[in-house]
Amino acid sequence: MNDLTVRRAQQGDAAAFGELYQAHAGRIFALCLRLEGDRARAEELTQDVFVRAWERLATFRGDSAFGTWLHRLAVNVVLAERRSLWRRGRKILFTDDPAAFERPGETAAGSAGDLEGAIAGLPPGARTVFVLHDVEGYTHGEIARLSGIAEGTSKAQLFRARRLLREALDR
Amino acid sequence: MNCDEVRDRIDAALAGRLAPSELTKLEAHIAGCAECRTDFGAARALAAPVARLPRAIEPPPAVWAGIEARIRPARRRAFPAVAAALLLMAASSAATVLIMRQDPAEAAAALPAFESDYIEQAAALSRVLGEERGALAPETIETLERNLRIIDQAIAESRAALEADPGDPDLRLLLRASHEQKVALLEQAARLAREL
Repeated sequence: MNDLTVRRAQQGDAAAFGELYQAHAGRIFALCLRLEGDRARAEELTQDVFVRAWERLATFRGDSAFGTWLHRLAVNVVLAERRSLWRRGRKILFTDDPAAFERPGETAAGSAGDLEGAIAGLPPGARTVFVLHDVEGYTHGEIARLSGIAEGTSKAQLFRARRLLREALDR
Repeated sequence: MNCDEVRDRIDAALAGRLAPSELTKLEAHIAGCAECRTDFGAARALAAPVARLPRAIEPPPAVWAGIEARIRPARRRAFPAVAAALLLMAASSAATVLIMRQDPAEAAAALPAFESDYIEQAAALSRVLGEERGALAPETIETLERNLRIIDQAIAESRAALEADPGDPDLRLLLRASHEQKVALLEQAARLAREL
């Protein structure tokens, strides 16, 4: 995967965009799945992220790595769609079902599966901050800017999430 | 060291990035504060399992199939889309000049923090639009300009209301919605110009 693939995709080459998808889909799907805690919703959002990326490819100038640009776009798409659902008064579905993370043939360590299930069971606000901060490495300042909450709220949600997760894993 | 200071340093302490003197103060506080001890314990207990989480989880093949179906027809529909766009919205070279006149850094300085992302996105799209403006008809640019003025007014009004009542979550939502609308419009125009 290189700059040439990105440039080809920017010129409208869907096959090149397919290569970009193959390289980055796993990372984006994992992000969507953890942020939403719902597999079907994560699949929809992953589609939305890549369609949006296709539409905005011309705005990618190479100031950061393509993966970084795409990841940030994905966070924006997930949070914007969540706000949009909220505005339209639709209930956002969240699951506390760890099976959302199970895939046939997957051989992930049991403890990782337990943690995935526990993350899915967090309240949405706490889950968002935990995933962005502890899993994806965003700072509280970045989370505040992306989600529109105060930095202090982000910190409070993180500690709440960690306590809830520890309780869930200790049960 | 108080509770807030301790919590701000827990991650650095666990990562071994805290100076010895700070670490001593943190440990002294934790020894006497049950709340901070709980937070420290939770952070420590989760650090290793979180690090073991897979960075990628492959989506099923149907996801790419859905994306492909959505991006390929869009290009085939380019010309009908242009015709519709000429009627509905967008385009003169003067408009893109107007769009690009705003200095993003200057505009972001006085705004709520979350607005800066939208301003950056709008500026990037405006740059693209500026480069492709020759592809758009004057009427299209004129319509685009008119729509952008309406959205900019909505942004200004939402922002003014939010400044008067900074804690109102509905106003924040409204301001975000207006920014999202502006980015979507610019995105549509940039795509249109690119496809021509």
